Amino acid sequence: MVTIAIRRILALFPVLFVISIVTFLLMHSVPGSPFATEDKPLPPQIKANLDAYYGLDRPLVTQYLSYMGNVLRGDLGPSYLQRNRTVNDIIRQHLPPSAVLGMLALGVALALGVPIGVLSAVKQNTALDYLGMFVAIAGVSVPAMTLGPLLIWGFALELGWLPVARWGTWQQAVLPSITLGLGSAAILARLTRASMLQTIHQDFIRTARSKGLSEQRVITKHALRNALVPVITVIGPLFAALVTGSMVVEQIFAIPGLGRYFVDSVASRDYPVIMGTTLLYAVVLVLSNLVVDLSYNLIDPRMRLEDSA
Amino acid sequence: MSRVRNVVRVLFAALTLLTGLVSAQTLNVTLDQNTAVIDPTANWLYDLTANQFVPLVGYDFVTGSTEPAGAESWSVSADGLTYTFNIRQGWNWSDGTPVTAQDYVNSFRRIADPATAAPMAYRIYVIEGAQAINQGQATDFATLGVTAVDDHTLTIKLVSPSSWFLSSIASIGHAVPQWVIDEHGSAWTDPENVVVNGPYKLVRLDHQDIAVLEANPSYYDADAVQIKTINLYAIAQESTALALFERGELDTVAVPASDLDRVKADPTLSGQFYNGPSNVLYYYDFNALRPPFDNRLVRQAFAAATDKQAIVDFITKGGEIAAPTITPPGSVGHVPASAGVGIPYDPEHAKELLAEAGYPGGQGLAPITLAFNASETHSRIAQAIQQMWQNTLGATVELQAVEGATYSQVAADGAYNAWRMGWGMDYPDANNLHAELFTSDVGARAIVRNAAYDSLIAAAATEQDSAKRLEMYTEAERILVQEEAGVMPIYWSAVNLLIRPELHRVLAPSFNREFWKWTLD
Repeated sequence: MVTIAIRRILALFPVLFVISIVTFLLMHSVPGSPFATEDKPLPPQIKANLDAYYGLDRPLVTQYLSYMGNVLRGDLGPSYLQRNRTVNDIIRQHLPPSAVLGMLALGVALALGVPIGVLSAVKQNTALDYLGMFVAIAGVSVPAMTLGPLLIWGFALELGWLPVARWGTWQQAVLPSITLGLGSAAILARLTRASMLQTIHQDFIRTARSKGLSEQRVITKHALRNALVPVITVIGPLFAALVTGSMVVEQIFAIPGLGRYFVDSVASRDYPVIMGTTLLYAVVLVLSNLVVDLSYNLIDPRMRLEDSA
Repeated sequence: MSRVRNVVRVLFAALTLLTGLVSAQTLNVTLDQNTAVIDPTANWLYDLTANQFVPLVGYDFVTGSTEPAGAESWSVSADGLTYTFNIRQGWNWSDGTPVTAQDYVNSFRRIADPATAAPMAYRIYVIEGAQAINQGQATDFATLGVTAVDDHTLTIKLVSPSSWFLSSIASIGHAVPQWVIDEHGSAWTDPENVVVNGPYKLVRLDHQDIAVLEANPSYYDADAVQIKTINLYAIAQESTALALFERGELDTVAVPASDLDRVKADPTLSGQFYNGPSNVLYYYDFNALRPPFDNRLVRQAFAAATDKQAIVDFITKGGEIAAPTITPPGSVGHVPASAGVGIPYDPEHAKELLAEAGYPGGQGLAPITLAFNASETHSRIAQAIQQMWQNTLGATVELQAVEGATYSQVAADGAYNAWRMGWGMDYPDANNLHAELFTSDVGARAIVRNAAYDSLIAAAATEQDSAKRLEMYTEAERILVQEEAGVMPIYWSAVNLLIRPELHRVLAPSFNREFWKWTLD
């Protein structure tokens, strides 16, 4: 298993290399300039000075090679829009709040999604099932853009129980974690329910029941364990998406996270930030998928990763 | 006796505590602008720069005139080419170094230097030698027409007499501490390095979270600065900022358009509401390179078919002013409504003009593409105008929402028949709009060219007599928005604010928030 893990981590490098080339080519093939304003095209000489300042007047190949050279030395370059900040600074300062919020949201998603899914499946076609699925569909359908302000209005302005926004105390983390986690909870609930339904109709569950095991033991020990495999599969990408930040939730709750940089950097053609955030996301995604793959081993021994060599 | 003494002591302590609380004047506001480049020589002016560094002259938006700032007084040579500034004496940077004329020279040199790559450098091209240096044709900074005659006398030589020059340097050319820049490079504006000469000093900066300004005791007018600490919170979402205001965590906020009706109806909030003019023009350009807008009658017809009042009354609803002309009120060169310049809303006349142009009832008119940079408000305004043009003129109008980063360039080159634009004034003078947006040498390639307009704008820029200047701008606007109808001004924006009763802030269309002029009860 250790060999597999090491091999997978080594495989990360060619993956990142390909991603870097594709991203680099894509972003440079999109028209527009990091220095354009919406009000007025920049005078040509001013643009030339800015291009020279950031080395954008060099051939693309040179730009790419020099960029990758710096990346290998751990330097992700300057932000074009925030001249005295580097992409390293941006990630160092804004990833931690996003990561904490993402993990809390994942916690909310798991704590709500899995039990709702299990209950709905076990009590299939009862009021409890309908209620659970109503909550799940509402969770998927109501966007954070609506849910966030709604929670602020209810819990901060009307009831006064929690702060409106900003980041730093546990109270400030409650509403954004719920806002961000609820959508994922809904996805997990539906997935758990479907997978659970499939599992509880299988032969080994009938066998377990006929052995005289209590229903609770059948569900928790036999069914749930098998039903969780697809759930764990989606947790990999879900984790990567949640911990790298959500523009909408961070904006609503004024959290100094990384989310906006994914969106803003593309809109404003801030090339080094586009590259940095994309590479970061790729690393987190590949690593979380690796952890998921390794964890299959603990849940279902049949899926043990074999050293194919 | 000792009891009395104790009572006195307790009273005294309470009094100290109370005065301590009262004098700890702290203002909580939003930080609504780019916090990353606080260098006044490398970026446009933002609140954090305007409050830390001092320009040569200031601008008072309440009286509409320039006011002393870094320079106590100044004079202009008879030919209008040389400005002499007397820099304040006995005034130090926050590290104790005296502020001198050389600090201003260094600022203009840094702006002109192509290595600084200052995006707003073109704004000082009016200074002798600045354009050549910025474009790399000259490397000797001694050729720049900004000279320190002695420690407290500065001269600036211009290429041509420019009546707008004084008001323009209220927002560019703030003194910078060159020795700090030499030591720290681009990190010189970080709180741990920065040395300032203005009313406030940045003591904390957590990007996207909070910036804290503290009153600078070495500022020349430090005694007049009443608010000692300012917390600026980065709240990107306007509705969140409003919720924070309602919870008492912010002292003033902008009201998002979607909350205006609620705020105006709320018994408490309506009493804290302020609506006033801002300095932003919202307008459409017509593409004069392609039919049908290469025909001035068609442009006039479309302008006459546009009900601007309906747009501000029913679409934007934020107290905007329907704009017959270009320059917003409050800026030098604003054409008063009484001058009768502009194309008023007149559907019948619009139909006649279109028929005269050869498209009676819109017959033969190819579909018009109307573009805007993608946003909710722009889209709603464009839909309304689409409706007006279709109903009145029988024109088929196709809307095109374009992504921001490519929009201005593509539009200016003539990709669409008509397109949306906006402009916030950099300095309160008509020259800022006309000479940067509409004249033939710098304006969008696709908008109409008119030699008479160009020469009027050039002449108005150098004219010293303010009455004559206004006449020139009036005539220039008559050509641009009425006779040629090359540009269609739509409205001048408004500011909608909530202000806690204890806070007294400057309520004028200023460009940056000048915290040193605000007070708290």
